[in-house]
Amino acid sequence: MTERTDSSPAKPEAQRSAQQRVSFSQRFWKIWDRGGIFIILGVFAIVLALLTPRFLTPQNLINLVRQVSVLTLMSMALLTVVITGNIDLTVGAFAGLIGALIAGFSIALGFFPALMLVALIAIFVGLTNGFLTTRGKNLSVIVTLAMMTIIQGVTLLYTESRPITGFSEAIVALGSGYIGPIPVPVIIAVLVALLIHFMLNHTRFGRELFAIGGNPEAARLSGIPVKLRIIHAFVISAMLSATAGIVLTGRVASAQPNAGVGDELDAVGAVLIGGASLSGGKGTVLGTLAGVLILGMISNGLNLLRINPFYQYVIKGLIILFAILMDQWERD
Amino acid sequence: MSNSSGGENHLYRLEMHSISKAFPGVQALDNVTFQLQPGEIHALLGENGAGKSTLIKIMSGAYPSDSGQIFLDGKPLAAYGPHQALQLGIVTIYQETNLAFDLSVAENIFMGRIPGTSRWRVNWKQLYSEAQALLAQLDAGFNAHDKVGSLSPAQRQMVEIAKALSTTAKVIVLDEPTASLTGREVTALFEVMTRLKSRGVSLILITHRLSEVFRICDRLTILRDGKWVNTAPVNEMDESRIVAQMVGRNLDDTPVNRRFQDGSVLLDVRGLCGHRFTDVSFEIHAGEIVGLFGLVGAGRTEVARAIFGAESISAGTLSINGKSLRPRSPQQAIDAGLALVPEDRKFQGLVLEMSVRQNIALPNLKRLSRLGILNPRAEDKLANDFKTMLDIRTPSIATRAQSLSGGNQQKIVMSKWLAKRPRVLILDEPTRGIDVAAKAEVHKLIHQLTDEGMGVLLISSELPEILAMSDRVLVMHEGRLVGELSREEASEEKIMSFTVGQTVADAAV
Repeated sequence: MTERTDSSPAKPEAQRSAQQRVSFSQRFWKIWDRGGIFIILGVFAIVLALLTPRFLTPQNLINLVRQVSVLTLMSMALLTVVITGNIDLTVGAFAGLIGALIAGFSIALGFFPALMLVALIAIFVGLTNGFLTTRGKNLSVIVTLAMMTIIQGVTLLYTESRPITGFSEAIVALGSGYIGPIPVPVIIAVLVALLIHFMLNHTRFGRELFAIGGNPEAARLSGIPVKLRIIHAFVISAMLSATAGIVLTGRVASAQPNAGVGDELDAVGAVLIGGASLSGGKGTVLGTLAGVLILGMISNGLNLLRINPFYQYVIKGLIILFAILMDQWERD
Repeated sequence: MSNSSGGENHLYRLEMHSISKAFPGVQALDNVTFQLQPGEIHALLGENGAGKSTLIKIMSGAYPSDSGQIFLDGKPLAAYGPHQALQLGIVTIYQETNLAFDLSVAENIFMGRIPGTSRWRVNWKQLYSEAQALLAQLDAGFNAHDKVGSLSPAQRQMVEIAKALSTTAKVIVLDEPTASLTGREVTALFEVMTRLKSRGVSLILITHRLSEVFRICDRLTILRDGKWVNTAPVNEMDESRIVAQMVGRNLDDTPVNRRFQDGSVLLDVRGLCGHRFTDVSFEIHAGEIVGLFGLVGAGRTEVARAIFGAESISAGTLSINGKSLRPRSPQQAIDAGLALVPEDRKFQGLVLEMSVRQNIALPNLKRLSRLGILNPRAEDKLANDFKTMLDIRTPSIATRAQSLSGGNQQKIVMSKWLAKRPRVLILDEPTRGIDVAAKAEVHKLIHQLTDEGMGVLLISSELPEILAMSDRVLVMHEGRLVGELSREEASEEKIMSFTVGQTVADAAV
């Protein structure tokens, strides 16, 4: 969370002498905890800028943030759930499904009825994920993994594994439009990020999510309806994934049957790199955005440097592993 | 204290010389010397945060010290880890036992050193017979085949001691071993400790109960704020001197003259049944402190949790302030005016990673927000008010609950519920594991609250606390209420006779 918690116990008289003896590793963790991720982001940017002059052009930067806007939406979805100590692996697949459904529905019914319909579907899927997850302990991984498979199957059945094209212009505007020099998907992603930031840090609901992730039993005994809140988090996640799906379809102007598949891992990576913990109770929007940008810069940088793009899978995997290990070491 | 190096001095089994240790923001130990004789029981005393745990952790190899030297039987030890400490014969038994609940007692005792006929095969017969022999030495009332998960906390402690005995332990550290034990179990534990001492084993006892120090310890060492204060034979000390040295000032713990008035019934419990308790009926009046006493496992905590909606109720009725209630969740109980300060503050009371402020705010978020949006100023004010009122010692309200001492953590839990202004406050072991000064403050606070008309249900395993605080005492045994005593009737003997299962009728004879 964004609140600065300091961990110095109540021993003011001993404080001064002790601070001089803080070891290197303690100092390292302090800096890491405060903003390690932003330092890494900065280093990445500097390295890329030095390696290729094309990186720091306005054109490329706008391109970069446009490319990561869908991942931003999915990461915000996932972050909401991860803070409660759960995980939602459906974010990628569900974005794919909604991308296909909004395309098909808008052809049949028009844009706004289609929008209503996919919103209802998102609520339903979120409720299902949340309801099943809260039937027991640590069920979210397996529940959402199964749901992910089901959702992928439904997408393939619905699209008959063919792309859908020729749908409403409104969707294309959401995915590929510009307001001034700024792409619409970027505006949507920024608005959603601001909204989630506000929700997590300034609302009762957000505080309750952190409490649930930090200590579910203490949260329950404090009168927080733990299961209901987790279900709410999953509904929010599904709604944001659906938004990501609509933007995704509009961006490529066609709904691909395998869109979004595998994107959940990038979202997990972004959220973890950004300082969230899979055990819950931790995570920030700002950190997650840095995580998203780091992942985006890897693809962008490899592309600019004309390196085989398949390296990005290896590099992203390594970075995600690194983030997980840092989280573990920090706890020791 | 003698500053001569203990290196050549074979008088001591273990000597920790001029140990210092700093953590970020705190000097946990400052030039502390601790000397342990062979075959003695040595009490290590101090308030929470005095440095006892740090000293023990350095002794057991869990932390390296920043400076200072450790000698075992006169020989200086190089830096060592937990595993080497065990091999050297330094065994620590922590409050929370480190046992595998799904394995048998024998497997736990010999964990990591399972006797075998070959590298791959376990000699089960030898394993169980050796374990059984150890248990016999301890007079333990359970079997080597029993699963540790099925044992009581006291019995689990016995398993830890058997584990210590199975190695060639020279030094055994017991960190608050009696906190969750009943009187009879404490006696059994003390007998075992005395027997170990007569065999030349040195024992270190960390406890907050001074009566235990006088009962069993030979010498004591007092720490305060990470500094050594005193080491002396127990028979040269008395309680008030010890407390004064621990706290650094004289403590006023004279019982308040309470002006309890027989108010209206706030909580009425009739024929309540649930998991591990049956047919429990009692009432609590406004301004009354009702003590609930019983041995560990008698069902006290279960009753409290059921009233609070944290566990299910199978039969019976409940009413608060005249309104009947069947709480299905703590949320409903809280809305009806109940609050529960749970037994386990770390796992049930606090979100440790959250700040003092956020923990206090947790049950009060509704009041601290408008249309779901939090008011940070109101939140700060609430936390600051309680920080002042309960004298929570924390550098700031933004400090993590995790980094505070047990007593201050308990004050946070009390704060979060008092801020809720409940009609009835249930306190489950509110002073367990907190130091004498904090304890006196908690007691004072309970009196203040009842003076303002709150009803209090006080659950405690400490008879003196129950006797000193309660207007009425309820006694539970095996899930049933077996006795009720007024303040005038209540005595240690009477309460204990109920706890071993005598009914009211038996007692009357």
